[in-house]
Amino acid sequence: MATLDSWLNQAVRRLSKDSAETVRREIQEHYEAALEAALAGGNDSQQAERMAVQALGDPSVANRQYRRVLLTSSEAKVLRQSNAESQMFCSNGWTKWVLLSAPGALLLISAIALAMHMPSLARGVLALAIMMALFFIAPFLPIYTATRGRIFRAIKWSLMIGIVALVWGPDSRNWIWLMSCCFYPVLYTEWKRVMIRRKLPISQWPKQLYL
Amino acid sequence: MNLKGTLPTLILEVLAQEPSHGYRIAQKIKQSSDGLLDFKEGTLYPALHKLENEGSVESFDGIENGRARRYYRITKSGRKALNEDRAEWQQLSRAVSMILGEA
Repeated sequence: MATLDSWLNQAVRRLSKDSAETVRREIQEHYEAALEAALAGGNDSQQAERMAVQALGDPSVANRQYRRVLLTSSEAKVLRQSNAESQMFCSNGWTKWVLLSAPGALLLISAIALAMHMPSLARGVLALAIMMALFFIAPFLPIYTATRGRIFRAIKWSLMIGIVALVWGPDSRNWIWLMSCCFYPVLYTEWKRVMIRRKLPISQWPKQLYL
Repeated sequence: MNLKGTLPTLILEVLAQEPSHGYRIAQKIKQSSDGLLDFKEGTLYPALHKLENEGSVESFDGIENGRARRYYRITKSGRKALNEDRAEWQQLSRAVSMILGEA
């Protein structure tokens, strides 16, 4: 017979620590109320416990549903890491200015390369400048509303695709395998952020979720 | 009977009457349908979290019989969603009744 503990252990699999805590609290509350009702209905304690656990249903089904609406451990990890990165980036004055001026410097190098008749180098450096600007300047732009964030993300992805086309031109399709490998961590983080955006109410979004 | 996808609407309907906690919501749905709508209570809370994420319900802490409880209440946008769901359901039920020759 499944006990409440084993039910909970299955129901909170792969959920973040906070989510698991929430699930444990609410199911425990529910179970106690169900147990009381079953005892009041004249059942003995063993029977009442069995009825209360049975009424909860299949824990793996509950777990699947919980993972759709509450943060999983991998999502919480992405959120934590992003928080730490942005904190490090924004709290250190000189790092901030170095990173902010880097896209400008690269743009200048790209212009020089173009003037020196080195178009492929100019193209590559320009792509790098755009990429750096996207990641380093964006956090300082006034984009922290749901609509502005959405517009920014649409622009960001369009630019990323544009960069790929700019660097590899018509050969872009042949380089997909390499790009997929190189950008896997970025794509993984972005996918996790999409999932987090669906799960967290906008009022609880940290800044990096708008980006 | 388990009508997939109707649980959020049923929860909103119960909460439209008064704020309530999870166990009471589950009991009210079962009682109001004479036990016909039976769902596993472990799936009630994911549905409540989803409604909360969408802004249709909000939760607050309360006390019942000296015990701390998580209560839920419907919001303005939740009431709007409920009205839309009701209208949709009535249309669907009318259409099915017509097909089954009961209209």
